[in-house]
Amino acid sequence: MSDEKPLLKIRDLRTYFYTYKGVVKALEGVNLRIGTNELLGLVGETGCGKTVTGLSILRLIDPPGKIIGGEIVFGGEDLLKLRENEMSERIRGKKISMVFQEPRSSLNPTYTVGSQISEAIRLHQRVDKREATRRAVSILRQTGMPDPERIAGEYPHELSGGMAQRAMIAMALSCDPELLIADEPTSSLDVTIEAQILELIKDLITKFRTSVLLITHDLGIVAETCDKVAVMYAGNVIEYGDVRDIFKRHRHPYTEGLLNAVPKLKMSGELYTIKGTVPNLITPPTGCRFHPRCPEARKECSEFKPSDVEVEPGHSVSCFLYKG
Amino acid sequence: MGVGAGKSFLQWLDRWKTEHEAMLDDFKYSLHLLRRSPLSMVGLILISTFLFIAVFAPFLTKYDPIEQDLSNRLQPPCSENPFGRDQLGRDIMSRVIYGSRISLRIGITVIAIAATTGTVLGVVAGYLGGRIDEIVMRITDMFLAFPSLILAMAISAALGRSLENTVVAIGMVAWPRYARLARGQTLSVKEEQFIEAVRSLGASRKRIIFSHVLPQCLPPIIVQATLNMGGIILTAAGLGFIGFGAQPPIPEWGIMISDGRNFIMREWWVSTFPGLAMLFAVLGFNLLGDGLRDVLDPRLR
Repeated sequence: MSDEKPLLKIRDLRTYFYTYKGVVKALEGVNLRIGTNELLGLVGETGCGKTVTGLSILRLIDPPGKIIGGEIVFGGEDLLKLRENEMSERIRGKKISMVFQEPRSSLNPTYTVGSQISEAIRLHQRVDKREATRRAVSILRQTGMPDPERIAGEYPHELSGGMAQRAMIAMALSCDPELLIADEPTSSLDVTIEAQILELIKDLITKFRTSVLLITHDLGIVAETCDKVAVMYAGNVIEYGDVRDIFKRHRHPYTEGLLNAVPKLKMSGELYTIKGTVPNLITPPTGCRFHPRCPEARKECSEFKPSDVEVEPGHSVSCFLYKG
Repeated sequence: MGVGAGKSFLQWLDRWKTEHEAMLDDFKYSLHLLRRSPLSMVGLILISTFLFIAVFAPFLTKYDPIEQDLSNRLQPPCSENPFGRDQLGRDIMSRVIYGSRISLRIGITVIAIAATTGTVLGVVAGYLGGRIDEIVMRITDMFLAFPSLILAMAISAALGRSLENTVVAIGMVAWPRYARLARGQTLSVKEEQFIEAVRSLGASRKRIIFSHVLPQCLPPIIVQATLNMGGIILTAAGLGFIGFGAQPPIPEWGIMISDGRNFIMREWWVSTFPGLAMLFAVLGFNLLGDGLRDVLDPRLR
């Protein structure tokens, strides 16, 4: 299964934030891989480090945050070893691009949508203004935008949320990237638009042959759109596998809890919640970060950090319940 | 052929209009808001008059502002010389009219120098942060720690007294305000999501600073520049008055007021008319600046 060379491989990624209260260990050894043409869902609660993972891949972590260590191997090279200007010239927007949560605040309010897309094109491709504008309109058309010529001349505040997100996706895909990081691209949109946007992302990745890292907290979205799933908890990926494996044969107690916490129609009694609260990442629990809330915690859980165990080919868990 | 060129220009204008419709609408709305406030209209009228006088100075007076006529010295206002003549027999009205050119030139060049350097330094310092920010801001603190007129005097005295050095001196005193203002604005713009979005698209720092952050900082800078214009005219006149600025026989308002000091009790017109001219010019800029602030501040719309 995993013998095929992945497009992106993250190993032991650690990102810390040096705040005045103390060091926030936002990512503590994240392992992740995304194959070519694959849609990976990254799920977890708020504050577990999903967005920080996305930003770390593009090296967009600003002080007081800092990537402390690990490896982000993309297309054979370690992104953490590149210089800042190499990142912006060769990687950002060209090979890896990102779509953010709030589409309308992700567009500069003072420029038209068309000029922003053509700016993105001209950052990486040697084309003149007119050609860039033509391409911008054509890519807007591909995102299913009605009347793309008119939209290109409009300002972000004149668009609806869904349209703005289409424009953002157009911008992100304008240079034909190999990886698209979508950070909760639909959480500010209403349900019908959400479905359209997800459909669009799925469509475009087949058309553009792009891989996607879809960051979300919505398990429904994951079940519907993703090929692979990575579950994060307090700065670690605790379970990774095929979408079917995760939903049907999940192993980690946290994944179990997370899935049980999804409301279902035929339900008796109260909605399940995982007891306890998300840990403070300045003084995270020792050992497995989930052990204070884990129903199956044992002695070793509070002492040692579990490592990833491959329980089935392509399905790994980091938990002491499973050993080799 | 001329007709063809005119036609294509009209076509271009039409296209430009449709492409920039939103911008034009915004501009029209701003004008509408400005028109609703009577005080800023007064400011606008004063400034327009001032600009008109400065531009068309040679057509508005038949006298040379530096030509002396000692036989008619200190002549009171009359139909021939509405503002009278000074101690060397020069026509005060034409000196006031030509003086508007001097003030305007000082004002515009100082603003151009101070606002550009200040804004660029402030935006760069604010965006890059860290040590560069610290250095730039401490320098502005040093400049702001001195009373600005005293500092301008010192610089102007050190460089030598002339009109050009007055401009340099005032410019060096005026830039820190712009730097601070631009930095403050940058700090808030920098946190906007769209800055992160353009970074994720691979825009370089230079590009982000100059085409995404800087334009967002301009409205308060424009307001500050307009309000500052009055202050700069006053400072320039102040320097002229105490002899550190422009040198005679340049018809500079400060020098003219200073010239009249000895005669103020009996020959009041020598100081009064340049003083009034200055009053109206400064008042005009302040009123217009206030109006612009209200118009350009989105929170007050």
